[in-house]
Amino acid sequence: MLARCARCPDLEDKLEAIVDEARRLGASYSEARIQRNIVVSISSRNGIPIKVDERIDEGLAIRVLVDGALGFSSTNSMDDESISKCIDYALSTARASSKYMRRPICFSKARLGSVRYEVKEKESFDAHDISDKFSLHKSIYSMLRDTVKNVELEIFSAEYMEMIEEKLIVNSDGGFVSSRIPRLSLRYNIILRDPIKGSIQRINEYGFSGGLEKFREQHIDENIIEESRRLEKVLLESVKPPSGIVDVVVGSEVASLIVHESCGHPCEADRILGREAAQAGLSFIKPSMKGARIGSIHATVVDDPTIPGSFGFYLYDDECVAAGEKYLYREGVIEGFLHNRWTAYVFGVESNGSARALNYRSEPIVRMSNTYLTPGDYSLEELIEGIRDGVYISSYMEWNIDDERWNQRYVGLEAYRIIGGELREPVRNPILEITTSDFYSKIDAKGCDLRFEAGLCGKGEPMQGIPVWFGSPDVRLRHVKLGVHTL
Amino acid sequence: MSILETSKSLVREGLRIGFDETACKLVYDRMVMVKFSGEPTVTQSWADVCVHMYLAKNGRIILCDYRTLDVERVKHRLIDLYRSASSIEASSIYAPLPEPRRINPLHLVDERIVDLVEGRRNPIDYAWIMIEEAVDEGADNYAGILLAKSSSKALATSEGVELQEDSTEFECYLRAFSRDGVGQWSYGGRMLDECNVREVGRRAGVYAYLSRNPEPIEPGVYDVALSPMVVGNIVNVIGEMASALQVYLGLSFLSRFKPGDRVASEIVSIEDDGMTNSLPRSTSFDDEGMPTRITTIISGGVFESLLHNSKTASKFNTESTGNAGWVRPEPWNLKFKPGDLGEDELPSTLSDGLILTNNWYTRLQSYVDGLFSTVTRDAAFRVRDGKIEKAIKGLRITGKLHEFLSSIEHATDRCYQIKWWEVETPVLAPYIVARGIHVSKPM
Repeated sequence: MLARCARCPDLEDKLEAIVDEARRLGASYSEARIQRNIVVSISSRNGIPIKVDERIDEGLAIRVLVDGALGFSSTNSMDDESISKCIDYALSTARASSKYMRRPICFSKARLGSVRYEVKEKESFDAHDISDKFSLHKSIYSMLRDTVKNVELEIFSAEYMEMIEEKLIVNSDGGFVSSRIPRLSLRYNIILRDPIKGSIQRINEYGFSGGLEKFREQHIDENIIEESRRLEKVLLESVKPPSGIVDVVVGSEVASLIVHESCGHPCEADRILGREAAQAGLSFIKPSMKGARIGSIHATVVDDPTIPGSFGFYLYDDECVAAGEKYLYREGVIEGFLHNRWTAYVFGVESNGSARALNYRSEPIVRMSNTYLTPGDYSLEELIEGIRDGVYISSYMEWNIDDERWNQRYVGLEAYRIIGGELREPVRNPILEITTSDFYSKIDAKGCDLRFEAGLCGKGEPMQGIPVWFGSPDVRLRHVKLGVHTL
Repeated sequence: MSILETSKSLVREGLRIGFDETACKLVYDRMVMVKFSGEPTVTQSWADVCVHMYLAKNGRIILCDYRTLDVERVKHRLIDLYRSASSIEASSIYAPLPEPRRINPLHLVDERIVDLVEGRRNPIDYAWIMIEEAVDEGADNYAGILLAKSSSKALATSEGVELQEDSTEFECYLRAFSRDGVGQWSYGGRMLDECNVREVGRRAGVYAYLSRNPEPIEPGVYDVALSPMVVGNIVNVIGEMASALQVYLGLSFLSRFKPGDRVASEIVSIEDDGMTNSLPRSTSFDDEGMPTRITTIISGGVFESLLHNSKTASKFNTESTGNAGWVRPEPWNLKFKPGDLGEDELPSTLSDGLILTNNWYTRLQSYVDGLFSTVTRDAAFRVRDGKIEKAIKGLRITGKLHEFLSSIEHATDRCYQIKWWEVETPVLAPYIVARGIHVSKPM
């Protein structure tokens, strides 16, 4: 961990001195963070390497409140002169902003941690060399070639990524956090092609916190192979989906994304207050809407960074506030928002530990971690049994949502017709174009199997792509108007 | 030691350790950004050094990004990476680095931007110039950023390239609100011109005011006029797909076409331009030390060229277009060729259509087939009989990229330098008019 780094035994003292110096120079609040992200990735196409990447991202971030304005400055030159300039930039730019402030920025009181924690890998990244890690690309490609027999496997490209994120944070309110979190992911792209039926493309990602054991435990190679077998069938046998009003089983993968986009994002308190209005947008949720109904009794969504092994794992946020489970929607009612200390102050609540920064060049902002719809008690078969005429959408490629998180669209990739409670032939590109309240109101049953997807969630300026999980069981929606590509 | 000398020393070290080829690009950035939403939300400043290295051994390729000035530490890492290089197979796209070429330096520095970065002028005062323009046009709230950046980069390669370049960059965008009306505009360039800052505020404010009381409309097939903000977003997607590596990886609709194929209407010409010094990512040389140039991607609707570095050029049996990225060719600045339509003539081209001024979240069902949709945001208008009838909201454009490009019938005669959160690669874009576009919304 950073504080125990042999090269810099005095890092903690240095950060405390920076925090004190910023306060001495006029900051009502100061915070110093050293963050090191070490990333190694390997990319390939059709089982042959393209390149190996290594990235070491290490530097200092300082954040101050001066005369009610917020200043942030970062540098990766750790000499005294550079650090002194960094403090000065943070203070002087904040001071220059203060004359334009309408409402001074304040931070809520919070119970701040003074802790060290780390995620220990069972199988560390150092335990295997590059060739071992690359062998995953080769073996998946080889298995795909053995599996995909009736169409052309045009491309299988993949990127393996491992990252160790280390943070040391000190702030003037007494917060101290030292953390180390290893993460790994595999992102892949498969294109299957048939001379008559055309092509089908699948891009997907697996991601975890932990060590190399995660890939093995999750059988990701087997999952990819099984999926390719099904996609081959979709490409060859799919028919046009029904375009009328039908019942839909939205598979876990699709529902997970919907929950992330239409509950997680609109519940970010900084978005509700308009801080991201010119970038990631606003929220249909207004500050007064806490307690408003958004869906059926099945609509319960939680954000929880403390799930072991999750891609969005952390125990304390980057303002040193303890993280935990937060209910965003509970039984169809808007219950809570994701807060940092500034939004918590504005809303008159305590921060719930949602401030995250991607790297030392990033200010901590309100982010999701692992956001999921709570499971019910149906099996997938039982969800399908209850449908006379409908569609099961298992996966997607295209999706988007408006900047208030209301009007959204998901286009199914692997999807099947349901008739008389039975799964039938695959259908091609069914379109679920729906509003947020329609989605949550039309859920009448949920599966018991909660599954998670991994992704990098984009927000902030400059953009911060933060690792998150989004999860859901399969869910059943009643009376949905499905769209069909008119192309 | 200068950044060029440091780059050269790291190149020598890579060769000494045993790599066949090395290149080092060392970049020193200073940047300040004011972010606001009704009031300043944060002012951010950065001072950053990054050592980028390319290392090759027997066709294996390793890239490194080290954000440090600790040269000894970088050298130590190179030893470990040399060991790693021997344990993988050769890259499928390996080709040697090119010989040095003659480079014509570009003047890319505006001292007014340096003053902003160094704190001699206050960037927030410029932000407020932009905001006041929007307010004067009827905005009652606003959000956006103003960014100033100065950079020095040095490039050395084992083939003998030794180059250095200084540059500045400026970006601003503003989203204006007028009751329930919203408008957004942006600007990005190498130079700071207060007129551009004012125009961003003014256009955002005008669109916000005009788009008050928006109403939903029925989905269907419409003729549409798209603003430079929308053109910028879609041309970004096309520019990224013009990278030969994206084609190689199956992440481009151009992989289904070959040069000479018609992919758009005659009105469509799209270029990548690395050498016009007013454009925000212009540079005199790429990461391999090749001179940048203007590369025509689509000319008069015909697919002409992908963007290449030496490796993809070798793979595709052609020449580099000066767009390295050691592995991935990148567009510098994209340009959509203007037409001869005046902006005030736009509504008259639409007997029954829509004007869309901004969009975001362009996503693809299939990259190789170009099946996409994108969500409108901010001001949008219904036009009937050549006149704006009302403000509208809540729409989505869907289609196939090459069919969309084929439906473009007009471009206006003035282009705007667009760069913002959803237009990462800068685009010089006019307004365009496209016929028969599918527009959807939740049912």
